[in-house]
Amino acid sequence: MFKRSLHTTTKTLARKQQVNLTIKPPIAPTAKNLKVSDDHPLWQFFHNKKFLRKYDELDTVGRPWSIPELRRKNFNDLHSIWYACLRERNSLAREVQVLSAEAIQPDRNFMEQSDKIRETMWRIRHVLSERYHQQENARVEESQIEEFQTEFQQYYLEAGKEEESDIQESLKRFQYAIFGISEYISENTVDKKFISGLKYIANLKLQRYAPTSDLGVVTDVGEAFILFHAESTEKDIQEQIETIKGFRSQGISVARDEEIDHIKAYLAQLQ
Amino acid sequence: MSYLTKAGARFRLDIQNIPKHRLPYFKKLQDNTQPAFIRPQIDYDLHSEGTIPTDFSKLKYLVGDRVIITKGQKQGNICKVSRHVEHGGYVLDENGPTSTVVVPKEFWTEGQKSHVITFPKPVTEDQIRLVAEIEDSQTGQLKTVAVENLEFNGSYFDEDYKKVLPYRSVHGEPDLVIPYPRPEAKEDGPLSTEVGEVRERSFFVESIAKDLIPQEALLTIRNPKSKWRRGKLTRTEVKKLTPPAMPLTDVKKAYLAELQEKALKPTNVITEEMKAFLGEKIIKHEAVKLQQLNEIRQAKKNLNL
Repeated sequence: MFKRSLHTTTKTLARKQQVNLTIKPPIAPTAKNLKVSDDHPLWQFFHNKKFLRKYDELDTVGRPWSIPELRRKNFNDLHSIWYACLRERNSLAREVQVLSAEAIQPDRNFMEQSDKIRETMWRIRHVLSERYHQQENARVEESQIEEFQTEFQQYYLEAGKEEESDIQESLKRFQYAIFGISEYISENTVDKKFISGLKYIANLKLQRYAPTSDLGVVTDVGEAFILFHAESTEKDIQEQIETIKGFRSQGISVARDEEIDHIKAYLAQLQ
Repeated sequence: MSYLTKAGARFRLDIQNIPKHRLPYFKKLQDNTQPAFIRPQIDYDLHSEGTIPTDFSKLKYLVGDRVIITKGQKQGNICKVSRHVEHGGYVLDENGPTSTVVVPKEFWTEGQKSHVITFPKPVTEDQIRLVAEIEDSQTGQLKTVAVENLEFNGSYFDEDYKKVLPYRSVHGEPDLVIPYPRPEAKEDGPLSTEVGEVRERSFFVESIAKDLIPQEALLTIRNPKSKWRRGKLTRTEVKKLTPPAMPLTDVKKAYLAELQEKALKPTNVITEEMKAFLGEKIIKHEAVKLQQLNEIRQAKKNLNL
């Protein structure tokens, strides 16, 4: 028969333990007795760790950022302003909430401040929307891009030797403007546009520095990358042409569907 | 937290949208519900917006301007404008009109010792005139005058106000320019940004291939599936936008049928009889004309022309 009193668990729990308790004064429930670490995330809702600011501590002289001012700032700057605004608005909202215990209407001074900041925030969104539309519209105008490309090609191929440094600089700007190819490797993202840019610039270089070569139009991305990477001198380009001829004789080429992976791997090696 | 969003603002009671004949009710409500020390001191139209204008030509007198009171108990006193209040009011200094009211203890300000307080009463534009110092054209000495009216024309950039301002001159005499009072220097607030930092340009369009807004942030700024971007209407939208066809009466239907029948009929049917009639007419006409021509020719011959 099952006897509860003889169960091992009961016996263990019933074992007498030595307890050393001392009576201490009770802890009063006041804010002073609460310890909050300095990096507590909720401090973000407080202005300089103040419970409630006085009216004269609020910014009454400032005005919201205007749209023309915001148009001058890049995305990172706008993001920083947005974040600063958001933090300030959060602490203002908390303060309004604290004050709302005593008043029916949200506090006017705090709300005016908040509304001013809100104005800056919608203007930031407006400026970014403008940029988005500008970009969308610019990308639609493909004929203009082609026109620009042929114009540059003419300039690049017809420039004399004394203009060499100028055309190198403008080539850098051109490749970044049209294909997004930056001279800093880490800034680049390899995509379809990047690949077509490599091929376009490789052919341009070939036409300028080795117009008599029998290589024909370069369509292989591996070959294009070799020419793209080569120094802009007739000697270096001639050397690379020999390398490419060597590859062709060995039958080395990059398949169309592997182009992006291939170039990504190359760039990773260069980094 | 509904006060943080403005989404419901258009459904709120807006005094601007109340018809004019209902305004006395609201005026009465305001007078009955607000104690004297809260009630606005100047009589104003409830429909007017009331905000203090930022355009200087609408403000007329600025803070720091010397004005003379032309109406009321304090008529003749010269005071300085100390601040603007809503609905076109000007609060003057201690020489201006005041009002005395009883304030309950809950609303006492710091240092207040009595229930009865006196504070400046705002005046309207028509109760004051600007006091200016103008050079006398005959004696060449400066004299203090009150200006009946002002006019604003031209513009210049004011360094102290940091604004493009119109010139303020005596009405009818654009050469008598009365300069604005100099504003008190304000210290930058805690949220202010340095002028240099604000004007510094960091945005340059360099590439058409690179996104101006990072892809990760784009969804928080633009909605790619927005119905405004879709470019075509749904069936429901077409249904909503198409007005219903008006049912026609029997008379209208008959009239339309008649019109249609008329339209189908050939319009220029010429019978043989009509052709013969017209031919006869033309021949007769030609004969008359030919006769007239012959007569003219004969006459010319006779005159040897």
